[in-house]
Amino acid sequence: MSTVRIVYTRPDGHGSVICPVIDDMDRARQAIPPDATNVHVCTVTDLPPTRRFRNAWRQAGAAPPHVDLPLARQRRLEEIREERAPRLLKADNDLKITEDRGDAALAARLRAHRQRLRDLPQTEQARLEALATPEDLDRYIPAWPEDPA
Amino acid sequence: VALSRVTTWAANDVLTAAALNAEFDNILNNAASFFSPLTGSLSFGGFDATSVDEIHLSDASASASAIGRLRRNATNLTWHDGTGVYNLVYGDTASTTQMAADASATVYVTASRTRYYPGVAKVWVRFASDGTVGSHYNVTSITDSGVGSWTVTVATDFSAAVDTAYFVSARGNSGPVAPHGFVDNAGGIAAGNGTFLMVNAQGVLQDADTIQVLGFGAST
Repeated sequence: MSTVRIVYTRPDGHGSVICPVIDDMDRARQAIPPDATNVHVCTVTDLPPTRRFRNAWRQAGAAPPHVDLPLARQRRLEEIREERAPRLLKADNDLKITEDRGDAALAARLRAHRQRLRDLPQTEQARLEALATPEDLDRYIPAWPEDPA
Repeated sequence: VALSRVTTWAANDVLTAAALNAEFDNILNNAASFFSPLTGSLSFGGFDATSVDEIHLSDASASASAIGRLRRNATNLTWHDGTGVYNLVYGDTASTTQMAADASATVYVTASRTRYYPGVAKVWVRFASDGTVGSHYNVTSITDSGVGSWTVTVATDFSAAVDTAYFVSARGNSGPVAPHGFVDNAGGIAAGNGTFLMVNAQGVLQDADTIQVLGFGAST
């Protein structure tokens, strides 16, 4: 298996990586589309070490791809929204049940909790902006508000 | 034996030099006729028959009778291998067209033309999400286009994009939901490559531990 890689940028800005089956560069180059830019030959060790944030890989000219941090932050924020969805659903259900029971004090806390969940992406975005590496973004755990229910 | 003597000698005949020479010349000049046609079995004594131009087998109307023997039985060449008698395969090799048409029952298949048969996979490959190739056949490269998206470039093209039928599946599961593979028509299927996607149950692109692609169709 070849360790050579051919990287290029597609017209949509995303990065592609060609993995040749053997070290036959003439044949491997046949896979480069005519609209590719930033075509560059490198080795597998020149690529980002993990596929975490793979869709944020970008090239700065004809060079190995790197993780574009603004795009990676955006992706991490999307993940936080995805993780938030079931929590929001639970908060809505808890609030409805509590209101039906007539527990006004708990209902008020649940409304506040639900609002904190709704506001979470905005509050987390600022924290994500402070993270400077893909590894930090990967490790980051949002400050989920405590569920009063 | 087709050779006849020159002189039949009787009592009191005088053997002259000319007569003796004539008898030897008759043998030396007609050596083949001396033993052909045979009147019994010919033993080579364990030696080879070499430089034979052509062997004409008469129709024995029977199969080879013992181990190690060849015999013609009508239009079949029969061979006894010690366990039984078999007809030896003979005839022309199948052309690439005959292989692709799956039409002839009188030609036989050779190894290098097997791949032209319509029922044989023209390309197959097993690779990881990062494009690292495991086992493969007729594949030049894998292009990793992002999460859940890959293009397989084949070495020997299909005859046309419409002549292809691809199957893609995931082995293993790198995410919370087992990914489903399908052919990306939007990405395009060409004679020389195919683009494949993996999605989770929500239809979101997703990587897999291993992706398997199998392609059938008419090959060039």
